[in-house]
Parts: sequence; C-alpha cells; structure tokens
Amino acid sequence: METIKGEISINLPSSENAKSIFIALQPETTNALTDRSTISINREKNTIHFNIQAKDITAFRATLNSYLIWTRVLLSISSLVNSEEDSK
Amino acid sequence: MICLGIESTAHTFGVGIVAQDGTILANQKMVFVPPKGGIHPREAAEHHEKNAQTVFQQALEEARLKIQKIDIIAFSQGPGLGPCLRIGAVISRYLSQKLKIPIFGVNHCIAHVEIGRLFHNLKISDLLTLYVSGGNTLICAFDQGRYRVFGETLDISIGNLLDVFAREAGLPHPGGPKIEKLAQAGQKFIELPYIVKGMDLSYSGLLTASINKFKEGNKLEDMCFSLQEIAFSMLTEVTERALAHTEKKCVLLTGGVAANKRLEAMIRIIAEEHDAQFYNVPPALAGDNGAMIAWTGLLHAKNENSLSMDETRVKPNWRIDEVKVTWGA
Repeated sequence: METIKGEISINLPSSENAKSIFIALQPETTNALTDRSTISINREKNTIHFNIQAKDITAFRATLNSYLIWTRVLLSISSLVNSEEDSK
Repeated sequence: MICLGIESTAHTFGVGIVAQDGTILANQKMVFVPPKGGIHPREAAEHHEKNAQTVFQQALEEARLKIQKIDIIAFSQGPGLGPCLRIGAVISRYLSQKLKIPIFGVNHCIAHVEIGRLFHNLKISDLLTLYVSGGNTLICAFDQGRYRVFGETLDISIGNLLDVFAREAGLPHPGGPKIEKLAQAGQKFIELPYIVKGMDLSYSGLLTASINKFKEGNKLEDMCFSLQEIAFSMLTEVTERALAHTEKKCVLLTGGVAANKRLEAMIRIIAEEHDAQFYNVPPALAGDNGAMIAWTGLLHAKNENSLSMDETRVKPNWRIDEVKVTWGA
C-alpha cells in the first residue's frame, strides 16, 4: 500500500518563539490516537518543519489540520505575550 | 502566588486567574454552541482556537494583570474530548516555556469539586459531591487520599440525556433549561424505565424510551416532566445511599445540571433527612470554567512538583479516582 508523505515548513517571526512553539507541540507527536499517520517535527532557528506520513489522505489531512490549528492558536497567544512584553 | 487556569475539556474555552488565598481575580469564557446537532470535537476545538486570544485578553483585563505576573499555569488535562483538551495543553506548554513558570495538569472533575469547596469553605472530609454535567455524572467523596467514586453513570451522562432528548423533540440548544420549564406545565406522568444497577445508573435506555414515547404522540410537557422525575430520582436514590454509607456532613451539588431547581429540591430533601447540610454551587462556577482549574492548580502546587513537558500529554479518559489528592491529608 502506498504511503502519503509531506513536509510543511513554517517560518516564524523569531527563533525564540519558534523554540517555545516547538516545545509546546512536541509531546503531541508521540500521542497519536491511531497508527494511520505519524508525524515528526524539528526546528531550525525560526523555522519548524513538520514531516507527516499517512496511510490515507484523510489521515494525512486530519494530522496536518491538527498541527496547523495548534500552531495558529500559539501564534495568536504569542502576539498577546509579546505585546504585553512590549508594553512593560 | 497567582495561577492562570485554562479549561477546554468540551464546549467551553475558559481562562481563570486565582490568587493563593482563593480570590478569583478573573473568570472569562466562551462557549461553543453547535448550529445544529451535538458537539463535534473538531468543531469545538476550532471554536477554542479562534476565541482563545480574546478570552485571554478579557481575563487579563478583568484581573488587571500583565501576563508576566502569572506564577503558575494549570490546564484541564482530562477527562474530555481529545481535540479540545489538546488546545488547552499546547497553550499551557507554550506559556510555561515562554514565561518560565511551572505547569500543572488538573483533573476536570476534581476541579468542579474543589471550586465548590472553596466557595462554601467546606472541609474535604465532610463532603459528598453529586457532579452532574453534559459529560459526567458521578457521586464521589474523599477517603484515604483520593476522591472515591460511590456511583456513576454506566453509559451517557445526565446532561447528555437531557440535551439529546431536547434535540429529538425539536428544542434548541441548550436543552436542559427548556426541559425544566416545560416540565413545570406537565400534568400526566408517563411510565419510563428506571435503571439503577447497584450504585450505578444507566440513562441510554431511558433516552431511547423517552424519544419513542414522544414520537407516539405524548405531550412534550408531560414527557419533560416524566423524564426529569425519573432521571433525577435515580440520581437521588444513589446519592442518598452514598450519604447513608459515608455519613458525610455536607452534600454538594455541582456541574451544569446543578442549575436545575427540581434536582436541587430533591437532593436538598435527602440531605436534610440525613442531617447533612446541602450546598449548591452558583451557575458561574458550577459550569465549566477556568477559575476552577486555576484554583485546583494552586492546590497541586502546594505539595507537588510541576509536570515535565512529557507529563503534560492529555488524558481523555482520566478518572477522578486515579488522582492522588495531596492537599487532602
């Protein structure tokens, strides 16, 4: 059976923020509900790379969507933390 | 010491900020209401993602605090819907890293008990709790270092029973308050299955029977009246037996369904018959909220080390009796 593979890279505003987001996401990579897809993530400076392998396109899309939602919510929270820092 | 708590087990995304002395500095939330049908976990998670920043801003404004003043972060680690729990978990890990503060995972059911205990200033050893919500139905009391379960649902929760029946009857969400109002106009008792097995309850058969009886043409008011009487009598019976067995001095009613006045009246009667004080948690704290998570996070922080990042994975099936209650000794 074919495996669907994909790599998504997200550039973030700073490497410090990328590190915090990477640490926040990492425990989820070993906490998958099914074996239909696996993901590994790694960070290079301000870029986080998501490597997804899935047995079907549905599982691939579900995994990708999950990580995009989490990254998006962390970016929204990071803007809050950073604006608070700026206003100190 | 100030703790920020994040609640995200199901339809509510809440942020609470609580001080060490129990003062609630902020308690903000947004609740996902599905346009039709029940709660789809992924849709609820997307709701939380879209509204997290706003709820955080509102909570910090209410507390008049900069986020850098937070000393501890706590999050609902379970039980709950996986996609919803994960939103709270990733935010908590991020803030713990970014602000360099300790992180604590909180059992959602324990948080419901503890916020009620804080509000009424009750001793942990005196308390029997009936916790009734859309996701949970359990009767518990503290004994030998843990909250022990004396009775619980074997299938669906009481809130789920009411919500699904309301939906099938064409009532809009949330169904519980509408059923309560219609029940007041009910005049005829319709026989429905009453299922108590030992100390546990089962609601799925009652739900099916209620839907069938409604479709047979029985009046909705009579159905709501009968459904409430049967479902709440089952809860009352088990709670009374737990009370007789444990001889606790107080009965606490909490969770979203605790707002129902008929249920409150029934539990109040059995409490008084056993010379126990009855306490109800006010709706703002009885439903899912961030303050209860923050307060329970502070209790964990008293005697426990914070979690490592690996220990912060969510626990969708986390039972209340799996948690060591270190502050109960």
